[in-house]
Amino acid sequence: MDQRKVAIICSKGGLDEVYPALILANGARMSGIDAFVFFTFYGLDAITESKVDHLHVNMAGNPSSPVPTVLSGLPGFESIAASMMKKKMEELDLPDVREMLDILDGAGAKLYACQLAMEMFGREEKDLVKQVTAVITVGDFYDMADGAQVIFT
Amino acid sequence: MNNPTTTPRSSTVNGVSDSSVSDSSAPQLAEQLARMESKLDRMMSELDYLSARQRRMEELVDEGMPIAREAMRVAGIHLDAIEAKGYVSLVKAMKQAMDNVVGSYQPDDFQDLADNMVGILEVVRGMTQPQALAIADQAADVLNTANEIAPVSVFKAISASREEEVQRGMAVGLQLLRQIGRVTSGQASSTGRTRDRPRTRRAGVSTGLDARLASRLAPSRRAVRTAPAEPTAPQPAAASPTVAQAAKTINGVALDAQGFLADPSQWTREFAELVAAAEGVELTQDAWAMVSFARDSFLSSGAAPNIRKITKGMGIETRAIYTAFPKAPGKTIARIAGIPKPVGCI
Repeated sequence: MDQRKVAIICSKGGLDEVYPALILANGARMSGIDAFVFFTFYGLDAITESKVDHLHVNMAGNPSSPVPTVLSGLPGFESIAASMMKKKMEELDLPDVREMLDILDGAGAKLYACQLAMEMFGREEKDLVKQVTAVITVGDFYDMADGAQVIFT
Repeated sequence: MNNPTTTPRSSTVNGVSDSSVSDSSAPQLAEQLARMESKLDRMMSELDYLSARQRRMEELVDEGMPIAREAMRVAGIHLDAIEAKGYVSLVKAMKQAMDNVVGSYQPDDFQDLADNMVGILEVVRGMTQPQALAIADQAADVLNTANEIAPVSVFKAISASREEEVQRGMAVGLQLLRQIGRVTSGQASSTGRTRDRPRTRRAGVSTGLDARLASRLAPSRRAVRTAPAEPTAPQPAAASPTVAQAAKTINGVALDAQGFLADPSQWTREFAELVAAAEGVELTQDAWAMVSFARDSFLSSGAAPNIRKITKGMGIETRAIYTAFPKAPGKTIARIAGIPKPVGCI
């Protein structure tokens, strides 16, 4: 039987948008499935050294939000929502994003940054966390994702 | 006077008037005089009475006039006040309104009105239900105190929209609007005015009809939804086909469907080595440490530890656990340690 493989694309940088990608990747590794994550556009924030510990939760326009959208747009609201979510995660003893990246790295999941997004946001390889394997193009992504299930988050 | 039967009397009268002195008629005259006198007396007293009455009447009028005048003045003031308050113009306007009403209605309309009377009465009855009246009463209370209620900011309005009462009110309002919309769209699509009547009547029934339709449609919808699911249902529970699972027992010890030891108390070191061999894992010293840590953790807490609990509890790197158990370390460790499958996503 061929080794199962998943390719996860993380395109958004909200705390609530990054976690699913990381947990899916880790879950794949825990189940003995090869996994790699392709961080593109705002998803790059999750692997950017200066941003990884400060990801926010955007409740505006989120129909599942417990607060009305009008309030969600107020200054500082993202920080409040993010700190509330982080507190909850601490209660559940869930690892933070940086630890998740470390776990993924230890679990053998590969993390890749999107070259185009790096250029767009003016980031260089030294700005990224050390767990990132490489900066790749979309063509590289497809080469690696050959035979993998692709999950877009 | 020329009547012959009265002649004797008239002659006597003439006799009195013509000749005042007459021997034969002297006592008669005296009698007559006495009679006239008494008559005059009666007349005089009557005159006195009449004149007194007249005088009283005049006095009454004299006294009554100022009162009447005062009354008129007061009435005038009151009427002025009434007019100032706009009653008169109101009445005039009402008259005009009535004229409009009467003018805009035609005999046919009255026929319609008569036909719709039952419907109107139903509406009135509905509106005068205690609940409806209570709502109207409370709404009126709120309107009466409207100027005491402070203006509300957008945020307040939003936060108020989270109050259950407000939400229920909005829901009721929306339902009302929906009902009105249903009725008006029904009217818009109908061609003649006469066809409005049954439609408006039916409006009250429509919700019940919708509910009935929904309940009738629901089972078929459910059937459609479940239909494609059926072929996938009989699939066997998917599990990674490991040797352990295929065997179902190892060294005579029963495993569960996913290859975990059914009864953790039956675990032995030999069992662990057999499972590890079946999983293709070499039980190094590090690996053994992880297995025994997991087993101890389960025995003390009653829950199989996940990878993070093992790494954190042992103070080791995630990488180390994946090095010792490259494929699905959490589950592999649990199988070897003879403990249940760890739960959780991390």
